[in-house]
Amino acid sequence: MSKASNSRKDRFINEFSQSSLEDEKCDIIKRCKFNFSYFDCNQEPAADIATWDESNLQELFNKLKHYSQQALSHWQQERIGSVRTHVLEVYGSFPRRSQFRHPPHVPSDVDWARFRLDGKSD
Amino acid sequence: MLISFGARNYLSFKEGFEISMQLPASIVKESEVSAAMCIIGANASGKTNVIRALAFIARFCSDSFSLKPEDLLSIATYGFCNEPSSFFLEFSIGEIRYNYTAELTNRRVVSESLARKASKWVPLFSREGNELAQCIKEFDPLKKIKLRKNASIISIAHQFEMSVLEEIYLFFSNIESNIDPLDGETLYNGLATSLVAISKWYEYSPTGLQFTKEKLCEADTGINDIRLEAIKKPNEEEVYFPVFIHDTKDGQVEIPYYLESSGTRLLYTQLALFKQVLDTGGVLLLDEFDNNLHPELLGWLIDLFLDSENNPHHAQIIFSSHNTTVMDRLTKYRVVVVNKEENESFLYRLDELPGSLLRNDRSVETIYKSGKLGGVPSL
Repeated sequence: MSKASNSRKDRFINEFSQSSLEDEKCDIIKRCKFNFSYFDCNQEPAADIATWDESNLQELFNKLKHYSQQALSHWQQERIGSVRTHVLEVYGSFPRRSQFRHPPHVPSDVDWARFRLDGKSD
Repeated sequence: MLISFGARNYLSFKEGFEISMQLPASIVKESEVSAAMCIIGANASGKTNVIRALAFIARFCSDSFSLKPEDLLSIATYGFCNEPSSFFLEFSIGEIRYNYTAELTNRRVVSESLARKASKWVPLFSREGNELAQCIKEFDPLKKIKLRKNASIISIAHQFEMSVLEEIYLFFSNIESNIDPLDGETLYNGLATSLVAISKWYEYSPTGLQFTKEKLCEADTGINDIRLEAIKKPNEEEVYFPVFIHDTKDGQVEIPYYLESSGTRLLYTQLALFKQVLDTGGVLLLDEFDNNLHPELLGWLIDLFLDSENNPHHAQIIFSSHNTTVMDRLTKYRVVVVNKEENESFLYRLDELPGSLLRNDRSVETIYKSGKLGGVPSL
């Protein structure tokens, strides 16, 4: 042990943030972000989040955390198994063969897409 | 020059601390050792204790012989525990580096040692209690000394006029401080307590008085001259008091010390220390350097050390301050933050922090004030 050693100093330095937003390697700008303010659970096929059990909610949270580590373009190229589909498929217009209808509060010129959540498209 | 210093189990530092004055090669221009170091931190974080540690060991090495044999060393260990406090310094005299360590309790010297490095480190002497445990031939005269439990071997050797440790003694005696390391009282703060001694020094040091006159004029205090007035005491001893001369439209006005501003009085007393240290290449320790001084004056005074033309003997200043405007001038390499957890102090120089938060193009002061660097009060 060095005569000047100090465990409190060591802990402070070890816990000090290694990066900042302006770092070249910081890619927070590129990482995808989620906005749930348009979420619509009033349509017939929709399931209210309140009906989800704890493990489903946990799984959803972990998926969102995982997806938000990368850019959208990354998930558009990330294949799922051997199937020729990707984690993220951007349809552009509202899908024709959906049980849902275009919610009127969602702007008309958005791109529609789906993220793969649990083995099936959601 | 002081290269680094530290202590352990001293006042609020239960564990160790060390402040390095050494600058990284990437920013060094002329000297690899900094001429200035700023100590920042919340109230009661331990800033003064850092300065007190160095002031204490300087006093111990230069003046402990003047203690009476049974006097205490006035060391306060962390939590007043019975373990000894440790002090350690590295410094250079010319091209030679020295490493000094001491372990002390309030009552006695537990150990004391000095090593020297020209090409490699060589132990010069080591002392265990009142015994000289080891000493190289060159230091043989030390063997004749009867060591005393509350005195440094360096201070004793000086009193016995032994030349072997005189350079080392001079290094420690050229460390000046504005706090009394024994009781923590602030000195040279513009109060009348230090006025007589300082004025006497000015009387016998015309260049010192000239220096202070010039600096007080430059500092825009409105002072054009200083005259020292002597008063004879009944025992014939002369006591000196300054009179400050101000030029006005209506002629010169002479103002006594007690009517001058707090800043002027502080500068009058502290500039004597600046001059002494700049002349000897010593170390100036100032606690609460920013007291009564405008922030721009702080930078101007620090520049006396940072500017090699002003500071040909490589004097150094180490100061604590609550004024953060000096941080950007000094950069992360010359700012130490003192922090406290559970009433234990610890410190770090800002360039020890990892990551790029303190990039060279960012304001250190702004980031410090945001609380991201620690050392701000938790209110």
